[in-house]
Amino acid sequence: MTATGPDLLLVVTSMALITYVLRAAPLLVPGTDRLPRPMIEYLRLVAPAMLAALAAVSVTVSLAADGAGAPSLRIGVELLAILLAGGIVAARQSLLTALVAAVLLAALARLLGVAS
Amino acid sequence: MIGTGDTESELRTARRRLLADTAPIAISVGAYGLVFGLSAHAVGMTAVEALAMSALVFAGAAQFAALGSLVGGVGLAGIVLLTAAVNSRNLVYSAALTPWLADRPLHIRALMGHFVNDAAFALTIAYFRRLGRADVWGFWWAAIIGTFLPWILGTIAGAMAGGAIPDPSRAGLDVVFPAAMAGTAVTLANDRRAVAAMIGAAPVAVVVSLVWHPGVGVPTGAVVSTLLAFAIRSGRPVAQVPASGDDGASPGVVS
Repeated sequence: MTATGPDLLLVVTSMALITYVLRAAPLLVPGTDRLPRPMIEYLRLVAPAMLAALAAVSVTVSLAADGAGAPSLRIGVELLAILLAGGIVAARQSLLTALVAAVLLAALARLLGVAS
Repeated sequence: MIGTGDTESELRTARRRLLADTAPIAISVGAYGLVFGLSAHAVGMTAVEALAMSALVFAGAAQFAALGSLVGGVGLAGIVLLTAAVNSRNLVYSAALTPWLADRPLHIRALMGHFVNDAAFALTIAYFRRLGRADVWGFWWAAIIGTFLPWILGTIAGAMAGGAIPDPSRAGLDVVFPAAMAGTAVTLANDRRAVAAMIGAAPVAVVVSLVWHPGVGVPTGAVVSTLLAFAIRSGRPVAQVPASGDDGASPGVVS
């Protein structure tokens, strides 16, 4: 399911280091924020692309519990939930509202038995 | 209105305004932290692990993306690259704060660096401009009281409350982090080119993931879609992130 223990420690440490460098570099070494324009543009675009890819794959691609076998496609309420969340953010600029709506949609669908 | 910062009354007025501005942001950040804590518990992290991530990384969007990456089988390199991409705007925030804080001791600036994020930056830059000078008390208030403490407390509450929920999927909690990633993607896609990159990445990632593995599909979808998006003209912004100040900060979302 997820990394735990030492693997998670490595992930957290790596994330913390790169985040700190991005936050502190201009304060500590003025001028480090002047990256090449194409690199700045690439970073600007790859973030929403990566997040959208992660969201889509996490709700539509199933892996076997033991990791064996080919991934399979599943279409369910989870896909509707993330589309709803994206729509709410686009319309209302409120991520918290979007998350609450997505959770309620999934919970209601499962309570009513129309989704697993 | 930019003050001269020369009078005690101006300082008191500016600080009162900062306190008022901080309250709704702190509440929003705390709620977001609660959701992260619940999500972290849902994917098997302990409360200590969730707390460590929130304290050391202190970047909501990247943390949610990391949860999704871990579940999706994305490797360490992919997680680090995604973290860098999602948090790259902090470079701009720090650069905007540098002129105000350049005379502070190096070790103080090094400590401040950890706490730069959307909300802390937005509150701080507005406060400095209102005052007409840097007042470091304002930065620490915005950073610690406005964002760090609510984020940590929310994370702890969510991670511990998650243990009281026997089946998170029945409560719909399993959709929290994919929904958070989708919502954050929309927040970051503020022109035609970024929207194209975002929309194009999803189907490419799903197809490659089905043919190969999600650990390959996700970065492939992102890279291919981003490269193709360069062919599209940027155009006018299609979705504006709420801004505070002239530097395009987006309060309310811990980055």
